[in-house]
Amino acid sequence: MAEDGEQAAVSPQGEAGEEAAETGAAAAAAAGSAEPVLPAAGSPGTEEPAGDARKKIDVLLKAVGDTPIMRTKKWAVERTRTIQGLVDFIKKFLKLMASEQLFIYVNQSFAPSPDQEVGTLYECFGSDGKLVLHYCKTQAWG
Amino acid sequence: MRQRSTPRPARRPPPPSASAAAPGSGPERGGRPKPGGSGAAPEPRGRAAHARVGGAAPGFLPGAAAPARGGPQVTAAPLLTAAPLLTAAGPGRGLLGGDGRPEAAPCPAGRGAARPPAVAMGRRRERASPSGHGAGQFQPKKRTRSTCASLLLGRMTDDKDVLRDVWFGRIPTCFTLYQDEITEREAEPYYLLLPRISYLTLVTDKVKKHFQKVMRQEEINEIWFEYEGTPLKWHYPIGLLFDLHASNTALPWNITVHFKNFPEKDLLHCHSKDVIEAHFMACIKEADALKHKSQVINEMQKKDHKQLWMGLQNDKFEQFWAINRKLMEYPPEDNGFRYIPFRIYQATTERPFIQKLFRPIASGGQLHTLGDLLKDVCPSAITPEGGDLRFFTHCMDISVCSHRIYHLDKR
Repeated sequence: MAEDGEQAAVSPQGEAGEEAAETGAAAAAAAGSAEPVLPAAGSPGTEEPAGDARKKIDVLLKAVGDTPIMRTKKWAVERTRTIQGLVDFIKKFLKLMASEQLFIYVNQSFAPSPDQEVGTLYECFGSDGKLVLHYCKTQAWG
Repeated sequence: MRQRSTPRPARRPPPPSASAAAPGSGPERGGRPKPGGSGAAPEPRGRAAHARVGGAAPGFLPGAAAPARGGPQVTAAPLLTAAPLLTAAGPGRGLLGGDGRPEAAPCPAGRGAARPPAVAMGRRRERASPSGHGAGQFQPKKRTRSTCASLLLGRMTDDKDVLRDVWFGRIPTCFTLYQDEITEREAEPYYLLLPRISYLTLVTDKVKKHFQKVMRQEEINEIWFEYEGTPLKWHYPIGLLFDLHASNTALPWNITVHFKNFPEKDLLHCHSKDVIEAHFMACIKEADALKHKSQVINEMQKKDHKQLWMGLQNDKFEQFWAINRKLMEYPPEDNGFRYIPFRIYQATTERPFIQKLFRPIASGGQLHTLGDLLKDVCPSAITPEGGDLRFFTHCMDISVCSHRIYHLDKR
């Protein structure tokens, strides 16, 4: 589910931005760049005004087991970003191979579908203003 | 009606015994004629046909709204055949009582309360009953405080007819190989009754085998399906796909089969049944996270999870519901789930679906209706004029119901 401009759609928070740039990961280097031009979250017929749809949500990434820990854990992510997009981003950041598997879990209980939008997950499973996601190279919660 | 851009393949009448799609499937339910069932000629889908009851994946209750005059299509798709109020074919089923008004179920009985004798001694009865509710296997309930636990359970089994109708819903489908696929001899279309509640890649082994027989080994890659140019997402329940894309068209549903040029941007890969199982279980878990904070699903053993999957895979209603019933219960002191798992699909927008938190009980204590839900999460679907929109769940036309609910709300 490749998406264009995905690198710029995930930006780290605050001072972590510089740290992220140091890692040299291509995706993180996009921190501080202009707002990405992603297609709007919905057609004019949907409920959310375009402004809301483009508002980013905070995602906190937590490593499970012996999966490498991301130096920057908190990210502002576009609502329409899919789980697959996030997986690709984390893999790039951690310099994993594309062929390696990465599992993402919500509430430490279920793995959302790769095409699920983080905005929807945040609406339903966010707490304290953020969506906590656990990531793991192996299946953690089945 | 949609214009076809490519000519339809020459249609033959369905073979005398179109096979049910599920492997090891149980017998087709007798006694209830289904329009478009095996052996029937394709029929036009008028309003009456929309009243046919279909099924849905346990993960979802699909539906589609067919606009009377080209308005947006809305498909209400609750996760996991959730709160019966969203499966109601009309007043009188599910949480709506006989007079059409929602009932509360106040009950002091704790979770571990012993079952009242009325339930313990309930015997299996024939499905048809004078009450018209399809009593299922329990005696009609008395509305007393002591029978509260049975009230909740009884409601669900009162709906057992609905549950069975949902489970056994089928869509007659004609599979045709894409014309550009390279074959050694002519590929005949393949007819199949697809279960609404299942997934394409779970029930089409026979389709794959049929077409692979006329193809060379090197031409065969991962199978994928398309309807009128739109790749069909296998991880959506079959009934949802039909309601969303083809509910307005004549049966059988014509699906095109591909083995080349897999559309990476549109479809997930499905290399094995394990992938389907993982997706299915993830849906169940997500729904329970909303209903019970994952408590019920987490308390179950691995073998119970497996039983849910095997029930779906082998089309075993009782096997499935023996476990799923626990996921559909709530403590008597509550009046419902924590949140109702639902997804609303619209054919006309780019967004995949609408899914939000929605409580079954309003702050005043009254039960929310389908109209409340739609007003809250999809207000454009309910126009002030009452709307030309129609809402479906399991391809049952519930627009009459929702219309009525809407008018009740207006008061």
